[in-house]
Amino acid sequence: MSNEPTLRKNTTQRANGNVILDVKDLRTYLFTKKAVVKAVDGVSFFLRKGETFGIVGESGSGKSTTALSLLRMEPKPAGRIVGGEIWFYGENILDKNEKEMRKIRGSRISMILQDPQTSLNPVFTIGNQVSEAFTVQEGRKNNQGTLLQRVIDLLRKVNIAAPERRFSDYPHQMSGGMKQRVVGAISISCAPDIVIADEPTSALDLTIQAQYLRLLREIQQTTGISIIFITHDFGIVAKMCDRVAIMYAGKIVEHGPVRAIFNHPLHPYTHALISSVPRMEARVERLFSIPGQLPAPGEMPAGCRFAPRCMYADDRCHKEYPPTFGGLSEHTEHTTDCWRLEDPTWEPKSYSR
Amino acid sequence: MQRFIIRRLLQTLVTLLAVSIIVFALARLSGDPRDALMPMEASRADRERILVHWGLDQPVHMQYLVFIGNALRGDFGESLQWPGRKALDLVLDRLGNTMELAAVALVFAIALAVPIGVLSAVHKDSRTDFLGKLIALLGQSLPHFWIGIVFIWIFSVHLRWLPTSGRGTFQHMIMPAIVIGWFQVAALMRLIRSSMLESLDSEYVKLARIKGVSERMIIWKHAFRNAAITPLTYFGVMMSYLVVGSITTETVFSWPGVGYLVVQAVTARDFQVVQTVAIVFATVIILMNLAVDILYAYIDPRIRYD
Amino acid sequence: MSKAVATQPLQTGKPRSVSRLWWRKLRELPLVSIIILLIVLVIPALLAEVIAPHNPFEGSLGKRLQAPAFFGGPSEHLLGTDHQGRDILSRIIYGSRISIAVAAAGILIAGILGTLLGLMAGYFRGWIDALVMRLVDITLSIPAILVALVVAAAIGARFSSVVFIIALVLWAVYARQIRGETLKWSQSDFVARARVAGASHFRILTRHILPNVTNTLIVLATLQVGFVIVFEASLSFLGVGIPRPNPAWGLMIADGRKYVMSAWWISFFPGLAIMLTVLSLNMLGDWLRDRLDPKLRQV
Repeated sequence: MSNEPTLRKNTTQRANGNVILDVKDLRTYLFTKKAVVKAVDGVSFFLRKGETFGIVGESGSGKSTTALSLLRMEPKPAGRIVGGEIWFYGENILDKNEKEMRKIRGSRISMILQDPQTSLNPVFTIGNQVSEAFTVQEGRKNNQGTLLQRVIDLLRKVNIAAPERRFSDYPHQMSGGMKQRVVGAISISCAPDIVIADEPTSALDLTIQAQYLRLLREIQQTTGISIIFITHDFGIVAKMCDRVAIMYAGKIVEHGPVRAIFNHPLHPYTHALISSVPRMEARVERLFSIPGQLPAPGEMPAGCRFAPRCMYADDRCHKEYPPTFGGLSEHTEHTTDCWRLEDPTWEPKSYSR
Repeated sequence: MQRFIIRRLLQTLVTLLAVSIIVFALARLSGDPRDALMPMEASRADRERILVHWGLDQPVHMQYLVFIGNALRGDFGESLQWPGRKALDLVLDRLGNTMELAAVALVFAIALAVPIGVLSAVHKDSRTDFLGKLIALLGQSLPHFWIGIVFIWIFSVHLRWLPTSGRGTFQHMIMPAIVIGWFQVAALMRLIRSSMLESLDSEYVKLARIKGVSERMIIWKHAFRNAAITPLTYFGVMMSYLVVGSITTETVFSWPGVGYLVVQAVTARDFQVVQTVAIVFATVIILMNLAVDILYAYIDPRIRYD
Repeated sequence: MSKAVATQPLQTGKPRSVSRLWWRKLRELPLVSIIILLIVLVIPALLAEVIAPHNPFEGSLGKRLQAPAFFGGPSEHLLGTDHQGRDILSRIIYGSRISIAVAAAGILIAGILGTLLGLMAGYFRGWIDALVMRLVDITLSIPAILVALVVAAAIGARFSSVVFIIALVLWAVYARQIRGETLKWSQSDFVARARVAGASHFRILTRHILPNVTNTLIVLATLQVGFVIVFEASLSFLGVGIPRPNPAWGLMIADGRKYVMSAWWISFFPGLAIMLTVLSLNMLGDWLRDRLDPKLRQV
């Protein structure tokens, strides 16, 4: 988080030169037999060049659907983007047709899926799958020799030992961590502007997880790509991200620089989430966990979605969705959707510390 | 890999042994096997000769060994219907015709089932999907031989497009091949559809989309290559259905294959030919299954050989 | 995360076309299947004497090959007569009894045998399991119709041999499926509890495991009735099933084959009866499977 000071300076306005992706009021709904699930319900955020932006939330909060919507890959046929704008280098992604989208996917915005075990095609070799990333975007103009060399270079870049030998391996011959590095290689193959990482380490064990995260940081430093990091793990957010948005039931409830969010969480949900992260220095007896669960798709509360689980909720919270309060803490750019913040001195009280 | 093949070979041997025991036992189930093996009006000398040939004066287990010994030398006895002709020669003469028909039927089944199955999965719940389900349901509900007769009635008797029976030109093959193949279309299509659905829903297809691969390539390269593996295991079963289908269908169209031969032999109570056909067909089917299993192990890199 | 509601590709929700709605209705409401089955199979079998207009075994040669009533034939024979002057409608009506009897007897024997062996294989494991499963593999790799031909050639064709062959072929399907289920239930908590409580193997199998596999049994049986009816018809058609002059549907089709040039109705109507019966049975079976035992979808 070395770039945080500069980050603070520029933050009062959003559309400055560094912003490469600006999402405004994105809505992706899932039309199921029983109900319309508002998986992403008016989400706005932006992404600067070279930064890592985290989206944190529980399973079902809509964070993955948000990520997939950026690539126009919302789960079909039930999912549909029903509103909003996604500005990417001055063009609205939602105005593009499928053919134009294919040009953007892979080459300009890329994604790492969460499960390395299943995200590689079992019947093709690693080399085949990595080189496909090149040939799809650039056509077949490469001759086989240079293509092979590029694939090997790329595999070396993601720390795969003896890539010349690994080239003709099938996915089942590799370990989970290695497979995830191959997936990472595919995602950076065409030097994209943005890589979306959807819980890329949740299927890996802890040591490999740490290795992988380090690799991602390295790649980011050498290539200057922006990363959108999707996770449910606040610990990873603290290590990886510059800014973070907390999602709950399809909405971003709080958003701001990582340090601000960690030190002064304002939304009761964020506060509860952070309280549930184990800290080395604070010897907590018991991790705090939030009573209740995400509202069922059909029973979305009329007001604040978190109200049924919130210890501070009053009548208005149940009836009306709160406005976004911004800049209430010492850090600018810190915004929170919560009625309590009408009182400028209010802060959620500690649970466990 | 080698151990896998050896194990499968052993299994194949056991199955073939079981087939021979069943055939052997059935011949003796009827009392004096000579009644099954010989015509009523056979002479004493003939009966004596058969007795020695099959070792019928010895205990049952020895009889079985004689039977197997003869079978291994390709001696399945002589035909009653066509005296003087070896049963095995009769069968092998016709096997080619049956295989020819089965191959055309297989090509027809694949050519129809693959596109319908894939399209049904890609356009799930659409009109195409509905049509596919209808074809599948009809194919599995209609008896072959009846479709054959209805086809003859429509295309030969009424429209006079195709010959009713026999073998010769390609036109002779069209109706029987479609009749045999249709049942396969149904089963194969369902298999391809369900494995395509699974494949299209997978993470690797998602990754291919992320790479920007075109939809056509996603369907045919990424999804279909995976989806094609599951139906492949079904090919062994399919071969056996093709062979079985040939029995009724060859009879309907008087196609000079093994199926038609065996039905004629049953009618004439020509047991030696019937048992030969049973063993030859069973061997063909079992070997096909073995071949498919080994092929499968080569195609699917994930398969474990233990 | 991908397991969550939000990212699971949901299967429905697209506006459906009319044909699909109609299809769904048919599938969700097996009423049509049941009505067809009642009309073609059950009622004729129960009330053959009452509703059949003629004797199915007797005809007069003077009335042979008469066309159906609606096809220019005399009104006396609604679906025409066969080569021996027998009324086709009456023969189809009586034939339903054969189809039901063969299917019921064959499936009952196969079901009992297969369930017994499947339960033992799945519960006791060890050599019983190995033996049973090997037998299952062998049985499934030998085409039923070949066995039928050999049996017919050896001991002749009769009702009992048809039932025997069907049982011989189908038991393996039950055994394999029930074994799998038993294996699963044997490891369940309530079986462990029963074992701790000192229940005998017999009691565990009959009181704790069997009730849990009945759904599978019902679905398998329903799905197989159609197959058995077609199979019996095929055997009869080949002359290795039900012997003449019984009015088995397959036999009637075989009889009409020689007359396909002049009297198509002899073969056509029995085949139609088979088609309607099996089609509705399959639809009913699919419906039952989706309701009772969705995991059987691959069977």
